[in-house]
Amino acid sequence: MRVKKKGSTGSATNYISRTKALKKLQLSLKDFRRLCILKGIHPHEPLHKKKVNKGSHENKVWYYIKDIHFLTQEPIINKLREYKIFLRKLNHFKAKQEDDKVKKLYENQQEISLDRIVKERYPTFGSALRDLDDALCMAFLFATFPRTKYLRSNVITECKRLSTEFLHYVIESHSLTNVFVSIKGIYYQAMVGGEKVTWIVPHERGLGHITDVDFSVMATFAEFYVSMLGFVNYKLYQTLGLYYPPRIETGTVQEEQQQQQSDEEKEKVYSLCRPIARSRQQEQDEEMEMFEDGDNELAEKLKEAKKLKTLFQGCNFFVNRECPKEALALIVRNCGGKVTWEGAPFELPASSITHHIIDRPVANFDLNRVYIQPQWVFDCLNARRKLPTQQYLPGQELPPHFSPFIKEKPGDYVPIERIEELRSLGKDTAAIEPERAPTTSATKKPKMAQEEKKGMSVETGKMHKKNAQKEINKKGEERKIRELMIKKKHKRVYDKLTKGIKRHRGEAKKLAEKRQKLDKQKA
Amino acid sequence: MVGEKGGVKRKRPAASRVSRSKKRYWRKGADVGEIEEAAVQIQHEKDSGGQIAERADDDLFSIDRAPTAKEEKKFTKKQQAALKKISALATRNANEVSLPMFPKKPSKPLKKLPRPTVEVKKAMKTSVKKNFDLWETDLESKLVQSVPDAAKDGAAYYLQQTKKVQSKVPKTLRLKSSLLKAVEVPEAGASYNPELESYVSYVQEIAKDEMKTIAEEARSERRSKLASGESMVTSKDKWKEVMAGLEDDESNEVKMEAEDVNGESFLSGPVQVNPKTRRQRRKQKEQKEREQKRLSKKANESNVFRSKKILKKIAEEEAAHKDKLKMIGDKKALDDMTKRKKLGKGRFEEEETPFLLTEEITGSLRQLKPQGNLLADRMKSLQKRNILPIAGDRNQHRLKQKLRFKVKENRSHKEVKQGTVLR
Repeated sequence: MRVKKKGSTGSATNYISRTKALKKLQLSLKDFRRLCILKGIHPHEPLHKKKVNKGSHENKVWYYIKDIHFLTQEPIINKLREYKIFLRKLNHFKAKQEDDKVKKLYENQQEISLDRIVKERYPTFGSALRDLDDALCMAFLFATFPRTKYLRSNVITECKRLSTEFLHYVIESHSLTNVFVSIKGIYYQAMVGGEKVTWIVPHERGLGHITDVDFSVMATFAEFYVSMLGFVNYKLYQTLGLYYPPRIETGTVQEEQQQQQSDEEKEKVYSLCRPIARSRQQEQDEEMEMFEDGDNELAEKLKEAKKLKTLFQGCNFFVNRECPKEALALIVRNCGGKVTWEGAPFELPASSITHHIIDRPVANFDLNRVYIQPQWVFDCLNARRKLPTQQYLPGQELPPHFSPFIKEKPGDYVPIERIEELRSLGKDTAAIEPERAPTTSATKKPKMAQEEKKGMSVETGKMHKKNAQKEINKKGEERKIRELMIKKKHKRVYDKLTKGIKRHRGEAKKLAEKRQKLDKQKA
Repeated sequence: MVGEKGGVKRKRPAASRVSRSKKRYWRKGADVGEIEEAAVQIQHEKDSGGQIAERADDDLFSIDRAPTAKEEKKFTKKQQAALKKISALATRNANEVSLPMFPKKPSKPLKKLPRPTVEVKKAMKTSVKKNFDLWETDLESKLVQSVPDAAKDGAAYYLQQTKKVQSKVPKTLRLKSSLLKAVEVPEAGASYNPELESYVSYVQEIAKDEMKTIAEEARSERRSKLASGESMVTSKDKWKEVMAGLEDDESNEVKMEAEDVNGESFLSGPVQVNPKTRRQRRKQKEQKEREQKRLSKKANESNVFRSKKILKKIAEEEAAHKDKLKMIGDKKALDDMTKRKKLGKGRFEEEETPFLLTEEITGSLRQLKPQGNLLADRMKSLQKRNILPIAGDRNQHRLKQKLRFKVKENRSHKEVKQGTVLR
């Protein structure tokens, strides 16, 4: 038998290092990186590096050889090469100061179309929805950036356009469920096409400058997600029966030929405060009648969605200029309210405004309005009901803003405010509530010594009463017996577990005590 | 002169048969045609006003002053502008005499009116980017229609080779790199207006990390410090060490001798070692082996009756082993999908969790100071999910890859000097 040559079978043939891949594709590292991001190809770590790397332990970037082979058939590679030539020509003409030729080059420049790649990466609409988190985060982030060397202005404008279009969809479909204002940014969650989509939007104040992020890499991600979001938005708008480049609802019949939008109209669209037009009237929502079962999850969800949809119905909001307009407009309109602000393209008569959102001391009151701080809107959405406004008046110390994303587990310390909030939502809080000292009835009734009747007698039957304490004791005993049965091997793990639980409980208790003390001091 | 007109000597077949030294050779080989032609030419010239060679230049040539063809010299744009300016100056100078002045700066060229063709092109460009339903349209069928007739038979192959049709997507491309969520929602303590307890627990976690790094720094500092009573070596100390025993060596020697005389001051007696002989070793080894054999035989004999128990034990052990393997496999699969992998030379560094100091929490959205950078957050998330490789340090110290020759003289060569005799 012939001896096999080393590295001709097994994992050595499955992987290829990045440098080799570059050579194979005849691309520069920059182009290769871009191509990989666009095509969704990422590196993989081989199980045994030594086997793949000819006996060396060096850390390299490895790709599957099949992926790279697939890349060789990518027509975009040709486009990248053409772009290289374009740059060369551009340099040449610029150096010669031949402006007309430079202009012509720019005019004839071909843009790389990513449609095919989007379809290849997301063969179904559902798969695109599942990857929407990343796309939305990128789009909302890049929409806030200034134009730089790495970032062409059209990427920024596209990001702005697509993100607002998506927000319009969320508003029209009333699908926003959770908001959390953190110090990093505002987290949103919505149910889009049956998928839970979470994204983060930076605060309106600018981001600081950072140096350790490769901007060109992130810009490539943005470039891809821009083209992907375009298609997703189109499809989402179709499901609701909206015009795709969104149009403002004017009450009059829209003309089909009026495709070109003026800048003014665009501004109206992107301000989020005006409703957009539908191409076909949606059918009336069918009233789903559900039997009032306690554990019918679907019914509960539907109820919740309906609650959200009509949360701010009939309320007209005025947003003061220091408040985040986009966030507030999104939430208010998602919950069925109307919103306006100074200089907004959508005006409401001053007398009709019911709520005034303000984040500074009020100069002059209007008695017809309720003055509130912006947190009220966020908290209302999370609580799914209109909270009392007393605590949210301007100048008032606000109650804490809880995260709706965190689910309480039994045994955790949960502040009273949170428990009350949960209770008001109609949720079972028994598991979370701190254990109260059992309220024993003041005095035990002395048992009456009953005289035994002689002879046969009949007594009225008594209901069998369960003694709660006895039940607990019994459970405890059973647990102890079961603990005895644990094998020695598993005993150690079990002990560790119980210790952890005990410690956790102790911490929660401490926090609760602290809270009690604080409350006492306040009182 | 006339004879050489033809340039090339003609063949003289008749003359070739005659010896060249004879006079006959001249007659046979002479080319009369050329001479005749020349004579006719001269006669013709004489008839038409004299021989050309003897006539004067003015008689023959005249200077042509009119412009001939339109072959103007092509000037560059700059040259054209300069010429224009010169001619303009010249005309002005001819009309009026003015003071000499610097040439004006060239005025900006007039803006070109927008060409209609460009407008059409732009309109087309925007219309190309039309919205359509990506998942309902077939992107490839159009390409198949565009196949030339000649290639209809091997259309699939043709399309693939011309990169017009997607080849099959490999399975490896569909593999998910991680199960982690794209957006990780922070703890409740990261709220802009947090509840006191959750804020404390959130900050304490960060403080713990910070304390760790501080402790580590302190440790490394302590290590580099000198122990109490020690001091750094100075050049003086070094010199002292070098010179030790050289300055007053006599007195030292005397001291040593004195100690020797006293004897057994610090030396103990020699250690007694009785090494085993080879035979002893062999015997002991054999004895050990015999004993072991005996014991194992005894055990085996008794094991015959315990075979059932042993089999059971083996089965149990096997099952346990299998369970363990399964557990390891499960854990590995989970780690594979949740943990970071080593991609590239760089090390992954967690992003610092942002937090607000207690005095920075105002409870007002207007006065909030946003913390952390979302771009960095996004990148770290991508790295965590094994989508982006992490580059190593660019300025990493590198070993010199080029091998260099080193000149070294052999000792044997060194020994060879002038006057040595080689044997």
